[in-house]
Amino acid sequence: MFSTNTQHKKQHSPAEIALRQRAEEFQAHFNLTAVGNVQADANSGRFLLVNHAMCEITGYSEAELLERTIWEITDPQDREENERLFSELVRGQLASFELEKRFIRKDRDIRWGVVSVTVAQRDETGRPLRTGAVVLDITRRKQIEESLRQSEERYRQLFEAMNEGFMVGEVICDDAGEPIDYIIREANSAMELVTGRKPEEMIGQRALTVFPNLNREMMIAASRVGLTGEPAEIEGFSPVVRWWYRSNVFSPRPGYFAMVFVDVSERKRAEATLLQMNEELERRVDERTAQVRESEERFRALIDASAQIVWTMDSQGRVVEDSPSWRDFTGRSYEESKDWGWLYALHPADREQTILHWQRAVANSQPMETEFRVHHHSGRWHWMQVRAVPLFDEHDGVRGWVGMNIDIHERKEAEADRERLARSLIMAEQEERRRVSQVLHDDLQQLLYATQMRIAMVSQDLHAAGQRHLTEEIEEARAWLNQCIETTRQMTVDLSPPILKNEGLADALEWLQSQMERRHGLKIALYAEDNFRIADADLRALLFQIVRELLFNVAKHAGVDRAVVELRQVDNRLVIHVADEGCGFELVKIAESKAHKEGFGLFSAQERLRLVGGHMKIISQPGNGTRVIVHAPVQIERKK
Amino acid sequence: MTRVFIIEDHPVMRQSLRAFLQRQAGIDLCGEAANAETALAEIEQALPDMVLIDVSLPGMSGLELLREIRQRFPDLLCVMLSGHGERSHVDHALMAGARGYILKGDTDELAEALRRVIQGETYLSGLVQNKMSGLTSEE
Repeated sequence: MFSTNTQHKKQHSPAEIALRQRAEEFQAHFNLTAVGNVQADANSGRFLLVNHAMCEITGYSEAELLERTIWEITDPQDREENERLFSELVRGQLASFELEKRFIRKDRDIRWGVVSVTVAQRDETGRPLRTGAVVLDITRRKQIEESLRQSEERYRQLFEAMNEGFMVGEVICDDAGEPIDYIIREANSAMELVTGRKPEEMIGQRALTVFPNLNREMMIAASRVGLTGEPAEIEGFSPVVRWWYRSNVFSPRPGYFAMVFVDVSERKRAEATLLQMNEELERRVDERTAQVRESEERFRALIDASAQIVWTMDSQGRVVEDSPSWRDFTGRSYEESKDWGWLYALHPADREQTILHWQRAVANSQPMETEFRVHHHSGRWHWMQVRAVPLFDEHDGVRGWVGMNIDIHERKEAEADRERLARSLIMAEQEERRRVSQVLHDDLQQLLYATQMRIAMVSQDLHAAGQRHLTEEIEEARAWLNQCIETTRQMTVDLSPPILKNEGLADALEWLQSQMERRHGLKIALYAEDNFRIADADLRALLFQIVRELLFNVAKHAGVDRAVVELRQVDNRLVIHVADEGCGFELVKIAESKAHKEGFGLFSAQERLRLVGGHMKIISQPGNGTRVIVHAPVQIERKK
Repeated sequence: MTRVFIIEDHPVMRQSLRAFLQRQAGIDLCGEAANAETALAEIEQALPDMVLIDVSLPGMSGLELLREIRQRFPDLLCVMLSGHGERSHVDHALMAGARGYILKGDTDELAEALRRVIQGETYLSGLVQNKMSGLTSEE
């Protein structure tokens, strides 16, 4: 492969042979070496001699290379530098030079090589004729370098692009080996967020120089990581930028530590808010507790002031705990009152009702309210209002009862007085009606009858005497007198039907039946038991008036000419039905109208009935008639 | 002559009745009383043929007196006088044996009633009759 200028084939001298042998050895050596080996013209740079390895590096054959110059296969990026060094070598300014450069292969690939160039042959004057170079292929190394560079570039980009601050510090210790400071070796731009300083202001500086207010504890903790190699987690606050951070610290190599700062301000703020809220909550709970306590104290004071007795019972309603107030009031010991013993302090007439109320409340776990009489230690019975509420456990079961009794004796007495008064007023009214009616009947009417008879007799006499004019005059007066009689008769029965005086209600109703038809055209179907008599004349009159009022209503408002009245006696009650099939009415509207305020209306009747212990039920609907049911407690006398 | 005895508590009314009866031909007023008890005591002496009884008397009522008289003197003609003609009163009176029921204040009717009862009829005042017939027709 190696070619030389050997144009003449002739016999050689031993010296020539020896020379040729040496040249062949060189040639073999030149070719065999894995390193590129070339000689080039010192002026033109044309290749004069190339070895096999150089062909491998460049991709050209030996013949192809010998037709080219150095410059044709040199990457343009390296050519200027290469030419400068080459010319300095040729001019004798350099004895040799070494250059890392790129070769452009035949296939346009790039190969890196380290080229060591020296002068290979000079002319007689010492001017260089040939240069010789050794070329070492370093493409592989360059590739590794490039990938390293790229890797570092990527790392750097990552480092800079990190949102988290990152720094590396070199620990400085005192003589005793205790950390006292560190030098900031690396810091990414995010560190500015942590420290408020740009990386270039920090790198290479001692931490305490840059940050005189540096948190010593943090510094020492981080430095220990550098010294021990044990990773740690540090949390701290940056007073510069008012930033809470959490930092993972590790040691990349002995004496160094690296820290990644994560902004936990949000979390810290949330924690702080939470803490604040918690404190606020606790404050409010304290406040509320105080209020509740105060309220409870007020409540207790109120109970103490208003309730004469406060007591508790178990879930079944038995006394299982002493109630001093009950004991004081009744004078009965706890032993006497416990379990169901308390019932014996109640008025016998109220016991059954109280037991019923109490059993119902216990069965339904519902608050109870009732009234009963309690035997006071003084010997008097006191009316008490009783309220009890269940106490629930956490499973909504009743764990007990608490109750209070309020002495309502005076109120009850006042109520009873009021009712007695109202009742006596009603009765007084009846009495007065009867009295007026009686005066009318027994005196005025009798006088009128008598006068009428006298006038009749005078009239007869005048007529007999032929006194026509006087007869007419007196007959006229007699007619007026008849009107007076009729009026007083009506007044008498309206005020108090005379029949009520001696006869039963059934008889009176019968009379009323005829009256209603005669005076109002109302036909009444009357179904009345008449085998009894109401002992109380006032009550009799009242019931009669109520029925009469109801029938007046039918006559006036129902728009029908028929009604049904039914009178029955059930035990010691009287039940009267008054019904019609008329137009009916809406109770609410009637109650709102002024009609009921006028005289002895429906509601007045209800009220009067209530005062004598009775009640009235009104069933009516527009278009569907009306049925009124009157109940009254009565004392019955059996008719003989 | 028919002997008539008056039982009426109101003095003026009694006086008027007396005056009225004294004017009637064939009627002899044989006595009068202001209440039932006096009446019962005096009737035995007076021996009337007929009694006029006011329904409303103090003490024993007119109806009770009627029953008592009917029991003691079954042949005595009894005529009730009343200010009002309640049916039950009339019924009770007729059931107890009254021969007449007359509303006070109608003098003409009273004369006619007495005459009819003496003749053996039962007389009801016109007003009472009207009421009775009205009710009767209804039933």
